[in-house]
Amino acid sequence: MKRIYFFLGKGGVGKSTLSISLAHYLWKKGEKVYLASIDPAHNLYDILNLPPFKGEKEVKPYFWIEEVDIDAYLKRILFEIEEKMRHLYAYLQIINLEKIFDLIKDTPGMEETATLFALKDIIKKHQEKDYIIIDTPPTGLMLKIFSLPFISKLWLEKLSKWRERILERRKIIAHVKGKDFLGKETTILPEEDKVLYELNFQKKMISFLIQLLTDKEKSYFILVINPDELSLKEGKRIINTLNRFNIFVNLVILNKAGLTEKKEINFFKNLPKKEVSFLKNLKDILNLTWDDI
Amino acid sequence: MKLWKTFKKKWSYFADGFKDKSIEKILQELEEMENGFALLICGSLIGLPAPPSLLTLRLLPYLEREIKIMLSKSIYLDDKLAMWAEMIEL
Repeated sequence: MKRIYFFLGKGGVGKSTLSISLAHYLWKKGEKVYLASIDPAHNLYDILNLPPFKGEKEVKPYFWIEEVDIDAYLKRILFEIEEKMRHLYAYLQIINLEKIFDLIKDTPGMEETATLFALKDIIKKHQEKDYIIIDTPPTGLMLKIFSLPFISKLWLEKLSKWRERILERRKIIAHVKGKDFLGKETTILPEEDKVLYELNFQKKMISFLIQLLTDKEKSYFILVINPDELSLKEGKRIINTLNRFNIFVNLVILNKAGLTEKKEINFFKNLPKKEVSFLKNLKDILNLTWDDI
Repeated sequence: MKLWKTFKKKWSYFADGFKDKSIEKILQELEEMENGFALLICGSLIGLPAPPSLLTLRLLPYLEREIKIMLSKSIYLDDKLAMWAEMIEL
């Protein structure tokens, strides 16, 4: 994979349209392109006038498109957990677990984590493509998704240490009182402990995502804004929040500014006064040079 | 020979007693740690800061022992002071 592009911005600024334009441009240049939308309110297929389909589809040779079904992804993860729990917790047989898991599905935070898992899977799966282009959800959800690996990392590190200490104590007790003293099902050794295994598995996944998101060579973040104060302010919030996690926006695209129809790039001659003042504002607020815009 | 056997039997009682005593505190500490671990995992249920739900949910199938400890401890929560007093032999 040469690069992965993330399109960020407020809802309705044109992220999906621009991500399709970039995907098409790269595909025209002969590159293998995979374009995915992780926005729960997708509209890639609508923009491209494609009938809805599940999973990825090679719409043209070496051009793959997918609207990632986060809901189905979450359901699958929860079903796997439910099955494990049913298998391991014998007394749960009598409880209607499905209904409980149906409720859990809508618990706050579930969608973001499921999106993160999905993102990791699609990136790993499409490593052999030249370019991966990700159309992200609007700001609120997107920031939660991108901040999640960093928050999760802290939690997972603490939980792993805590778990290791538990196992150390179990080992001492087992050494003195015999290995079945704490119960036959109780694990003693770190290499046999499924909790530690799961924590390590999740740590690996999170590290992979953090490494990818902060890799300046591989990941390219494009912020799309419109010439209005709201999208500019939200853009600034995106930049500031992502900077905290060492993620930097590489490019700001001012969309719907009437520039696309002008062949010459003479901003100021062709722009209405209102937009010129907006651009100056944008330059100052985002600490950009004129070349960045 | 009989005397030796009796001595060995008596000694094993002592040895078991020493063993029990030696791990008593570690056992209590272990239970507290397991309780804490389960509380962290299920923290969102009682309003504690908690790791992202889906991450903890994936751990849930393997935490039967810890959850049982947490539930039993929460039943005796009103007698916590007595439990700690017992721990430090007050």
